[in-house]
Amino acid sequence: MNNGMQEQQPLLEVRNLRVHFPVRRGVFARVRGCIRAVDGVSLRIAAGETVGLVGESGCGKSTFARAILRLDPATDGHVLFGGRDLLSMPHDELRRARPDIQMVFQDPFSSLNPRLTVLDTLTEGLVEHRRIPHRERRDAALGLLRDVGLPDEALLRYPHEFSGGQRQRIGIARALSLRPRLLVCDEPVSALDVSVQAQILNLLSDLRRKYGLSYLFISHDLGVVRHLSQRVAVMYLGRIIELGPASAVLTAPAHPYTRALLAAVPVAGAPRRGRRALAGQVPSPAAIPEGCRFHPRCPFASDACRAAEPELTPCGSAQNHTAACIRIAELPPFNA
Amino acid sequence: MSATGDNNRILEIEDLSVSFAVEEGVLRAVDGLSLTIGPDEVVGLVGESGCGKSVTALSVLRLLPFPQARMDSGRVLYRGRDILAMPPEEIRSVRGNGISMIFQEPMTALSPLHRIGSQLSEALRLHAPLSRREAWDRAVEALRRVGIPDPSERAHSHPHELSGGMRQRVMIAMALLHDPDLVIADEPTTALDVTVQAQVFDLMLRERKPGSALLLITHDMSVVWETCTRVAVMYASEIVEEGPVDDVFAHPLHPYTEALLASIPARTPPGERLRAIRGQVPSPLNYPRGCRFHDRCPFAFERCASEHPALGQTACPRPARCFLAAKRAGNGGPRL
Repeated sequence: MNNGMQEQQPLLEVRNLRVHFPVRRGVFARVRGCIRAVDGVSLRIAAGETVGLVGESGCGKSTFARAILRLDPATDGHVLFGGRDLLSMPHDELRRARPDIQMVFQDPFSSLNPRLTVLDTLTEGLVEHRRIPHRERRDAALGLLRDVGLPDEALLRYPHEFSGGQRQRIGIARALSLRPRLLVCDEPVSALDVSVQAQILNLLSDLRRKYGLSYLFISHDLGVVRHLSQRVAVMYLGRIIELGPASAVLTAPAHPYTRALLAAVPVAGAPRRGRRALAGQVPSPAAIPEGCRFHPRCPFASDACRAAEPELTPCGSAQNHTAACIRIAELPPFNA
Repeated sequence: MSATGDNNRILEIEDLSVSFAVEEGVLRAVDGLSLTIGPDEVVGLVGESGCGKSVTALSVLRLLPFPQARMDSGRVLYRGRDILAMPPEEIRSVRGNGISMIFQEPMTALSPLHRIGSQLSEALRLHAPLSRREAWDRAVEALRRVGIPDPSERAHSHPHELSGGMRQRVMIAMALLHDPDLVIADEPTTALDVTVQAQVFDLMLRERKPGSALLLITHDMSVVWETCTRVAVMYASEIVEEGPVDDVFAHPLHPYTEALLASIPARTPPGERLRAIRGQVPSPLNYPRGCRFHDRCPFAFERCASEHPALGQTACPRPARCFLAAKRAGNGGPRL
């Protein structure tokens, strides 16, 4: 972890982002409640940095990513990219900013248009945003194919002719076509088999080095996140509850939820711990508990935890390691 | 179960071959697979998607879609009786009382129209002479056993009103209803979050009848490590290696098993390159001559491309479908 990263102007700075969806019921579709999918999230990503975002399904990690790209409407907050707020940008300015942030999706089957050849898929953005002449499309696409390790013959083929891993390579090549500075990867390897997953993770590392890319890497797989990220943010019910260097968060977790998450993951070859299961279920984001949102499931919860929502505060010995828990100092050490 | 006696084999699969007639030709889904499961064993059948592990599971209960599927060879013995030759009423009794199955997606395995209490009591009444009232009470008890909170209330719910983890608990409750000798679980937790996954595995292992066995079908080596006593690794429709989990993980004899373990991100130091397996799984419509792994294997030599290795190699302590297995077992063979 490079300490200097925090000091300089971040590439992306998300401030207090909220994404709330109204719940409508009945014949007149009256608003009866509110799903607080993202509920006050702040995060910075430096140029060249990879930040992993982990959490279980429904914790709001994908909504967070989509809101950054304005694919879901934010309710409140700021998304500063290179110092400018993407959320308040007029449409034409946003259009110019879009190429800088691109997304790689989880499902390589549904995220590619089945009617477009690879050539069309890869150059659609270039034609739209860069207005490249028709004759240059082929060379541009070939360059992208080589970047992601696909043969030139792939150019005129359609998505269905490729395996899951190859399709994900096409998805990555498409995301790279506009030379973005930040790549938001939402579970990019979750749909792939382990052996193919490793190929794609290696490819993402190579591309990061080659193009100086920053990644926001979203995954539920802690092993994958640990492998790729410099910093990790752990989300629970719409908020980041722990944030810090990957090595600190994933080996010396502070927050009781992060501890439970790590304890639940089996690691082949590591001593069998007898997985300690976390009790209960994640509450609905339409009915978030008062106080610390983890307190109903937390083995360490006290009365004070029910009273007020804790903020991220410094913890542990690593620099920039923070957790939103008021009892951290009293918790027993974590033994993995 | 009167036939129990001192028979120490619950299930014997002998030389099972299954193929599917598809437009493009004949797809060989399972090829000469043999596997024996004894009392108290937890056996993992592990492999990547398309390797034939699920088809194996479906064949055991005769759930394959005919006529597209064709059983080319083999016997499946349940307590010495051939399942594939059983008349319909006998196979139905085996499905209810002897072997039960837990599927990956409980939403497709449960009826969306009926209350879960009714579905459970119907299953009970099919195999035991119970009144509606008695069956309902036993269903509620079964839900309580798998840790569903407020079971008498929950029995009135429809599947869609439950979370994924709760639905999977209902599936487990249904699978354990008649205290079967063998539970076949096909990717039972793949769709679930890690903390829920840990709860479900705890439950499956804790609640089964003493002396009964579990066949766990999964793509996840870490889950096998944490849960199973024995493992069979499948690649391209065949078992390529089998043995006690500790031996196979500490000392994989087949290069595919070794490569699979090496590609797990959590087993690689952060930042280091993952050891991906080059290339792709061959198509089951057209397997390569010789060893089916040879074109991806770092140790392949001429013989591998021409001759198909047997699972039992001379002077090799465990089954491994590789000409180098005996050498590798004696530490004389090449390793990654």
